[in-house]
Amino acid sequence: MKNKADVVIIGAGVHGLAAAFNLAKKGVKDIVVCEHKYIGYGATGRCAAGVREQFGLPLTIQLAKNSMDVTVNFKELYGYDIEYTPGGYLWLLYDEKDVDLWRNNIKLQNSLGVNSVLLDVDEIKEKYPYVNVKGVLAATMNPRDGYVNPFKVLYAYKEMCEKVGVEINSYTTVTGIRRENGKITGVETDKGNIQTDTVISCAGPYSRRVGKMVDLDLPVYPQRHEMLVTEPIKVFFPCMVITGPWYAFQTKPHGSVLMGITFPDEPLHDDVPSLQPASSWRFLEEALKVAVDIMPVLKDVSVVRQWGGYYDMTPDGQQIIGAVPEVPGFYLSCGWSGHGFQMGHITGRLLSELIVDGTTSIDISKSDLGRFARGELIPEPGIIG
Amino acid sequence: MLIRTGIPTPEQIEKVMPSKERLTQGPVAVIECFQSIPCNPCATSCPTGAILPFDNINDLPKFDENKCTGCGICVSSCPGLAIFIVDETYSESEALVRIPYEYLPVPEAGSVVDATDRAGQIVCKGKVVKIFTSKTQDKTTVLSIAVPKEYSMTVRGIKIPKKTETDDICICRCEEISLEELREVIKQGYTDFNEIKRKLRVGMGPCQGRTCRPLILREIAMVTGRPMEDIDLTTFRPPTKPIKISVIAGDGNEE
Repeated sequence: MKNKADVVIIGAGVHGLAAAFNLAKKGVKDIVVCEHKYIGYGATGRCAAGVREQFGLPLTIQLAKNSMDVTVNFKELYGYDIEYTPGGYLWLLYDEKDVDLWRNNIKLQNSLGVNSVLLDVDEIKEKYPYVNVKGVLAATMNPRDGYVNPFKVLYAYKEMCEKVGVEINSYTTVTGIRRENGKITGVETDKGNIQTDTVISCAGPYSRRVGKMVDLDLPVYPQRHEMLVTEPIKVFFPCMVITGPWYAFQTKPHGSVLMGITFPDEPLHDDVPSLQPASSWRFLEEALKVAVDIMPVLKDVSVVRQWGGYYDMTPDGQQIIGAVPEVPGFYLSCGWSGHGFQMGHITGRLLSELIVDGTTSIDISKSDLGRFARGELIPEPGIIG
Repeated sequence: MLIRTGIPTPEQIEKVMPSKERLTQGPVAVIECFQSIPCNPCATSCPTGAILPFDNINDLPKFDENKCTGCGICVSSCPGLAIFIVDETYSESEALVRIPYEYLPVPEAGSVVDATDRAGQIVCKGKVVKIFTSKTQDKTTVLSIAVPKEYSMTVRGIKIPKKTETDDICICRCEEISLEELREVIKQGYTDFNEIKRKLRVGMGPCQGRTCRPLILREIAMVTGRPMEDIDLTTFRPPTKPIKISVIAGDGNEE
């Protein structure tokens, strides 16, 4: 392991690796990534891996759209097939208020170049005949939304990073961050120390833990979310079906169906002993009850596995990205609150711009840590769950 | 460790050995079952009541060696292929070991094959004396192998020499991953079982790694030199065996 680096990145999920790769591309020489387990052990390797542009705030839509541009063109850009499968998020709306909200969201999305539409019940029935429309008033749909294989993304970035000389250290736990006169001077790990003046924390649900190393009280709390996957079946539904707390979609080319449901009463933790939470029976039962209701055709399909992971939740469900004025040299990408995976491409690029050029091509000032102290929260109306 | 390697420990085997006295009286079952799983065909198939009825389906088999006639019905009824019949009275110098065999090709009667131990290592030669393939065995072939007497409690399998080295060997049946593909990613530097799982989908299918886990661990151990016992396993995730959605959630509202 190098004992000196220009930038040390904590966390080898999609955000950490994308930041490392983009920094290297911009000419930064010595980049070291430290990961306490293996690549993608945390949220990236456990996520649903949906990618979408259907959000309700200009900044989130802009970030999502720019990240989606990378997702859609990943193979052309970098030569790796990440199994991007467009098909759209079919967001079922059961409440007049939601229909109004999403009508406005769609207007906003359209004005920012996202081609989302509102479908009426007849259109849903015609296009997606396997969806039970009982109680449904309308649905939103954006054909470019879809799914990618998170492991393909991770290993693509891993290999791309290695080609440009990034050092990725698995099973290397960061235990402390050294500072002198307020400025970062190094990172302590269980495998030795690394001298550096720049640290990016991409630690996901462990961001709060890392924040404490530089005396920051980051409002980023791990919250358990669970998923399940079925045996592979013939590919028959092209889109992700979402009710809000519940979603299901089919992976391609594999054919398994992935499903999740969010429980509002899952506690927000201060810290967790591992990023691998226990699975619950409640999840299995409740997720499948919704499944047989909304897509009865799934009832004879077998579940083969369920698992859990942690969202990194913030009070407004919004990311924290950028520099931290109180700790010069410390940068954050965290608090994505459940939609972070798809944003890795763009955040990696923005962080590299911020660190190398001092400015970013998309204004991310509203996503700073300071907003919590200023009381300028930005609640997002398009968060799943 | 059984769960990592699929190989029971000498202590485990010691516990299920028939008595010396019983072994002098002719063929007897050796039940090498060490995992409490919901499974009882051995007890329900035993015609003499030597394998006692289970109080709980998760129990390990309880065996009365004096009631056992060595008929061998349990050998093909055990889904785990964990039961063998050993006859140390077969001849002056040889014992007969009856083993379940679910591979193809089936060897020919009279042929001499390599006899292997519980870890698949070749220990001696064995002669195929008889091949049992009756319909009631539900496609689990049973082979009678004559081996030197001192190997009666060692030999638990056979190996038929491969025709060529490039035989296409399947490591993960659920996701159809070959040994060649596995070796390729290990060569690329993926030596963590979790990473290999995510890279190739091995262990993600309906069997959840029950078949491929020890095979993959063995390959990693061979390349890295780390003992299989020290290699981190992938997580065992519920619901353990595939279960139909309707079993948990009913049929839903089909209006």
